[in-house]
Amino acid sequence: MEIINAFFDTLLKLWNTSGFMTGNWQQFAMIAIACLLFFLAVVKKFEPLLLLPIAFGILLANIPGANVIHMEYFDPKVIADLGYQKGTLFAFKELFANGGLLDILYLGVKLGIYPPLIFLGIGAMTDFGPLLANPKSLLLGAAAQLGIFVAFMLALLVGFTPQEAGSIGIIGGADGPTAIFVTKTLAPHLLGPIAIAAYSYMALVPVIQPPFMRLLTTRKEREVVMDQLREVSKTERILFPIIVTILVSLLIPDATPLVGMLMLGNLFRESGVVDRLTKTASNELINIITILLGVSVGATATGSTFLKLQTILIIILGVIAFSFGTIGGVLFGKIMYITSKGKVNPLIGSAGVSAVPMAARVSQLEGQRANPGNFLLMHAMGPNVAGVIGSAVAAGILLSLLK
Amino acid sequence: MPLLFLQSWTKEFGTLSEKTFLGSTMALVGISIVFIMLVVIVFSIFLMSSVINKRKKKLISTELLTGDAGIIDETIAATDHDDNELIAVITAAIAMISSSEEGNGAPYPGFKVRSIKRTRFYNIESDL
Repeated sequence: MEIINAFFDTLLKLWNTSGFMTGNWQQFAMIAIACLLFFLAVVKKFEPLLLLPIAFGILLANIPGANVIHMEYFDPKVIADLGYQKGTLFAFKELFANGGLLDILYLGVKLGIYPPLIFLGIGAMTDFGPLLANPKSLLLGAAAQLGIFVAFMLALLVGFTPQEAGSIGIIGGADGPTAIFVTKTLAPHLLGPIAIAAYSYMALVPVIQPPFMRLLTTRKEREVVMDQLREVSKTERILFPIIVTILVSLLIPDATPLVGMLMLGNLFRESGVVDRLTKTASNELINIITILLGVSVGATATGSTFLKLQTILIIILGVIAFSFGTIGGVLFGKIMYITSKGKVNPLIGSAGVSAVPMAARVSQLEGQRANPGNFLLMHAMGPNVAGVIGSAVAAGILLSLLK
Repeated sequence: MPLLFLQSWTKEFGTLSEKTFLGSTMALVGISIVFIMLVVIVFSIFLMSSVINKRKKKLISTELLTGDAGIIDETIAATDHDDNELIAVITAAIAMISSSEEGNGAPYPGFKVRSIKRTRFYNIESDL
């Protein structure tokens, strides 16, 4: 009988110390959110490359009692209380003594290492040929950044601080690494919700953009067939990344890490003399960093930081940012349609919101819907890659004004 | 009601009008700088392209005048393949289609593939 009692006592103790008993409702709600993100990534295939590691990071960080990440070591208030100098980024002694794997991985986000490395891989994969063939398309990439600044203004009005508003606005750049890069500097406490909103909306580009594209253009405009792009010489392709790096870095130094690495990757690709580096940057490196970035960003979304009214506001402002980005791009496309006397299809303007190459595919699909013989993909790739440069420039501006 | 909501949220960081002013100023400055930056890049691209293409045209016209037969397209020069095999395949394919169109099974004698020219295609598969 005693043995049976001891057995049940042990079971009871085990149950009482298990996560089921020690966890709070917020942690279980976050586990449910992680499961929803698994569903979206695996079944619906919404940006699975990043949504899947992010969801797993959320799951790990919210397992009661697991303590896989210690966000307090990155909290400026705690760092000051522990006696570190002002401006210290993290409590390094405590972190290295007590921190776990995810704490160490998170350093790549905190120190701003992962986003530029992702940009290196993107640069090695991106062909700026369509942009060089039609340089005016860069202006569409600028117009589509309107969403960033509209969302910034609205975020400010609903009560966020200017730094938080800047981080929320950058969701409109439709560029995950850029959003993370800006947020880790301006509002690190919002990293989880902003990263999740940014990547979710990037996956929803085919749903968000078409209604605005149809609403703002006439059928005649959507039917415009654009002239074939000129061939771009190898010399132009090689000089472009060098010129952009020099210009952007000199004018907006805060954009240098992102633009510089983007252009370095592109120079690898276009120079044709470092094939091994190009392959590494565009495959192994970007894949490894994507895993590390996704898991560590997801792990920042703990119940206490994520389940707040401000998360709902961030999600609403994120969709507004995306919508205004699309509107800005399409309206500027209409201006180009008028000034070019009907030679530019305004649908390519929406591709200026970055989100490569999904936004360009949306332009192609909408163009073909109006005119089955219309092939806008290559024309839309110009503003699309211009959007990457535009959002990096916008990020640099926000950082230099709000840091 | 929405105004009340806004007011309760804005209490902490100044008045609504102050925020509107700050927000709109920032938005205007921000989008203007993005445009200026990208316009500078557009001009740089135009300048670079015009210089490169001008030099290329000059080089081609000089070589044509001097009768130099070594004018090789940049894209073709990059690939060092023997094109004879490819020309033979293209000739055979056209001949087969032409003969089947005529319906008599005899090879079509009215053409000869002298050269082929490669064109450069853009890679559209880059992905974030």
